[in-house]
Amino acid sequence: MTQTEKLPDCQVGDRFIVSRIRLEESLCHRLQALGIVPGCQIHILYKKRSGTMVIRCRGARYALGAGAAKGIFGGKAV
Amino acid sequence: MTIAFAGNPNCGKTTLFNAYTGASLKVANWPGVTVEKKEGVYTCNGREHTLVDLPGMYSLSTYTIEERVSRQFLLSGAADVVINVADASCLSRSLYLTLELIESGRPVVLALNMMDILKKRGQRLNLERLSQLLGIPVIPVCARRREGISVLMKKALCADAVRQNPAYSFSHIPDQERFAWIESVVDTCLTGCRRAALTDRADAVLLHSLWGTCIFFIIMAAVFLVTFSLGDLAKVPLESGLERLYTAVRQGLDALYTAPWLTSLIVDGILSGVGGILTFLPNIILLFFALSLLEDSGYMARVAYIMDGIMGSLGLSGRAFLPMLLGMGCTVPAVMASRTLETRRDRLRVILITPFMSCSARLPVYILLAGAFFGKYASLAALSMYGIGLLTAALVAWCTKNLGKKEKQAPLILELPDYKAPAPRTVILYVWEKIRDYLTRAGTTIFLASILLWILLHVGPGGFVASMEDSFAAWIGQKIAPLLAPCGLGMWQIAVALIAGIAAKEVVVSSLAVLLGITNISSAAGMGALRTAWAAYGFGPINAYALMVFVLLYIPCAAALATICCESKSRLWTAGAAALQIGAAWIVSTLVYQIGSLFL
Repeated sequence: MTQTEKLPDCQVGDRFIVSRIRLEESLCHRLQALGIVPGCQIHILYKKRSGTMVIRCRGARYALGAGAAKGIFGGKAV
Repeated sequence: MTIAFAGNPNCGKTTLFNAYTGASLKVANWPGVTVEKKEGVYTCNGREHTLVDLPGMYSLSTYTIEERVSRQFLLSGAADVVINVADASCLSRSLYLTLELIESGRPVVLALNMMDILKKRGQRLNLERLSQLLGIPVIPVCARRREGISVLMKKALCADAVRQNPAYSFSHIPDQERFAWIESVVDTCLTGCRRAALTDRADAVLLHSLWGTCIFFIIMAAVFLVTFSLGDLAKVPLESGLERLYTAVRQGLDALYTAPWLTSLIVDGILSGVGGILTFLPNIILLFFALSLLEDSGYMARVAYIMDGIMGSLGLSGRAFLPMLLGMGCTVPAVMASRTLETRRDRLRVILITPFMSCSARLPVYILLAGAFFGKYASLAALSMYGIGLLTAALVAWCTKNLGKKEKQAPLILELPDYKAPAPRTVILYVWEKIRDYLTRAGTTIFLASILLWILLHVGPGGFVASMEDSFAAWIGQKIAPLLAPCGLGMWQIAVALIAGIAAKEVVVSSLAVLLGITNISSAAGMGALRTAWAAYGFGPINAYALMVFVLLYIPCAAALATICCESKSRLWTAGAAALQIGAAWIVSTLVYQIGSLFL
């Protein structure tokens, strides 16, 4: 499992393990409050061509814009 | 005691608050409904306690304005006890805020809401174990059904009993490891296998990358078409009832030898003005019923995802579309909903474009004019106003995209709740509140505006006038009419109606009824009389369409303007926004009339 993939590189149905988040501090805090932190698993449910996606993390669903998704790094879970 | 309800967005805080206080604050199934702190009173054993409903927050690190409101209140120490309302079906995420609230030092009681969803999923929660691990009381509730709420309040009121167990402190757990600790707690307490939810199956269709947007527009078109067509059917008995009332009142006043001016004021002024908009009540009820179903089902939040691509091209996130959608009900709460946006620049841009989304108060104007001038195409003509409003909003957003200080656009981050069957109580309360607002406006603003307009139409510089053409209202209207001539609206009566519409958009209809002396203007006979009266001025379908466009786009009502001023915190900016709206109305209606006249 590589650790340098970005979340937008994943396809619908993939499970992604977060290794690091590189975004503005306020966005990092927001994602942290939602439980999207290094070590968590994200399930990609839907994705648009613009990069906006719907993910599931810790039992909740979130719509995540491309601007937020591109700062989430990690790798696909096997 | 002061008890605060704090928790993640859309977890049931306001539903609980309403249950205890008897209030009917708005609830809906999408995050961001409550944008300001609300207080209420709960009486128990003869003692009054203050309950405070706070906007939702995911953590004490705030991201939006309404979250700052909650944080400031919680950290001020004003609350004696905090009831942390959490979604039991989403425990891992919810407990992050719980830990922060416990660490803030205030006594906390954890109210686990939506336990019924957990049960439906086939999962079970060991509440006693959870309480031991957190060190605070944990009470299961179902706010919608008002289950467990008396036990919850009893626990909250025993403030001494809910003091945090000092053995439990979370400050030693670094932020990055908190969720690992929370997961271990949830794994310990939650058992059972999560069954596939209806939400997953519904989203597979409604969030389809290709069809999702189409389905959304079809749903909205269906909402408005039902509003127009079914509403028109339901109007018929109201119109005939009002017709009988007008006749009976006129005959009664004549029998009492009432002075002609007083009869005219009562029948042609008040009854025509107020009655003219009461007949649209069925349309209003249907519109808000449909919007309430959309909001309470959970579909509303999905709209932000669906529209994110389009909004992104305008320099806004999909979240900005939610206030715009709310604006189709009423501009006031829609403007306030802009607080959920992260940057001031985005908030101002959304406040600027939200009034272009046709609110429910404009509906009577469309129905009247479309019905009078467009025959079987009336519904289409009225529906097109929503499309024009949306396009104008998009154009203004696109034009302002590169104006002002460059701030990085905040990306969309929005929770999508599970779909739920709209609660009948929520829908009924919401629709009833809208009916009450409508009737209150009819009995106050529209009533007074009708009287004032009648006086201005029947009084001139020399006192009572025989012809309205010599009245004060005509004088004012004649000054403005030449400016409206390029729009095909160069009649003083229209100018007066548009000015009166600043009080409330429904007053445009009332004003036309009073101006033209047509009782029951929304009936078939009334519309025919309107058509005939204006045909003498060469006013036809294209003029009517231009008038509908002008009403759609020009400045919103006084209440909305006041809200815009309050939210923008700038009178100058509000004046600029109003000028833009009048300018947009003039330009678009001029284009409609000038180009339309080539064909019609």
